[in-house]
Amino acid sequence: MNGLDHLSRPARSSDGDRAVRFSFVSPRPLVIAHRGTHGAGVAENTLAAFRQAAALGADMIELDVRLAADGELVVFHDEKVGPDAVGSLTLAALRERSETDIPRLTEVLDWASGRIGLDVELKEDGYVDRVAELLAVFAAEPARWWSRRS
Amino acid sequence: MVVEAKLISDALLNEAVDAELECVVWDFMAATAGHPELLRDLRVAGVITDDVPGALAAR
Repeated sequence: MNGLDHLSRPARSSDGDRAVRFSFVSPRPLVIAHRGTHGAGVAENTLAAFRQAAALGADMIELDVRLAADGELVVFHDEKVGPDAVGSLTLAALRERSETDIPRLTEVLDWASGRIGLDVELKEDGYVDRVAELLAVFAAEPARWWSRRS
Repeated sequence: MVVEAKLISDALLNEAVDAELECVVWDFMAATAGHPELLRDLRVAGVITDDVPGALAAR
C-alpha cells in the first residue's frame, strides 16, 4: 500500500475535464451513499433520501441528473417513466407520473452546499456545462464533489 | 478524463495511484459482500454503497 501520503496532498483539478474536480480528504475511503438511501418508504434520489443518508453519516451522496422537457435539471435515475422518456416530460409531469417528489438539481445543491459532498452522475449528453456552472456556484467549501458522465 | 473499469484489482489500484488518479469503487454492499477490505484500503478514494451503516462500521 502506498496511500498514506495522499492524505496531505492539496486539492487540485484535473487538466482534461473541467467537469471533474478532485479533493484529497480524510477519512478515506469516503463512504458515498448510492442515490441517497432507499427503502422503508424513502424513494431514492429524493431530498428525503439524501437527508437520511447524511443522518446515517455518509461522507458523500451519489445522485443522477437528467434534463426534463421544460429545461429543468432533475435528479432522477431511469431513462423512462412508464413509456415516456424523461426528456419528453416536464418536471411537473415527471412528478405526477412517477409519484415521487423528484427534486430539481438546484434544490439538492442548495441543501447539500456546505453540508455534504456530492458525486453527480450525468445520465446523458448535452448539459455538462450547465451542471458544471451550478456546481461551481453551489459547491463552496467545505463541500466537495465529483461530477462525471455515465 | 474519467476511466472506468468493471473490476478492481491490486494492479489497477496501484496504476491509479501512480497516475495520481482518484479511484472511486462501486460496491453496493461493501460491508457484507466479502469486500470489506476496500473500506480499509487508502488507495481507494471512495466507495459507493447501498449499505452506509455497514460501510461506516467496516471502515
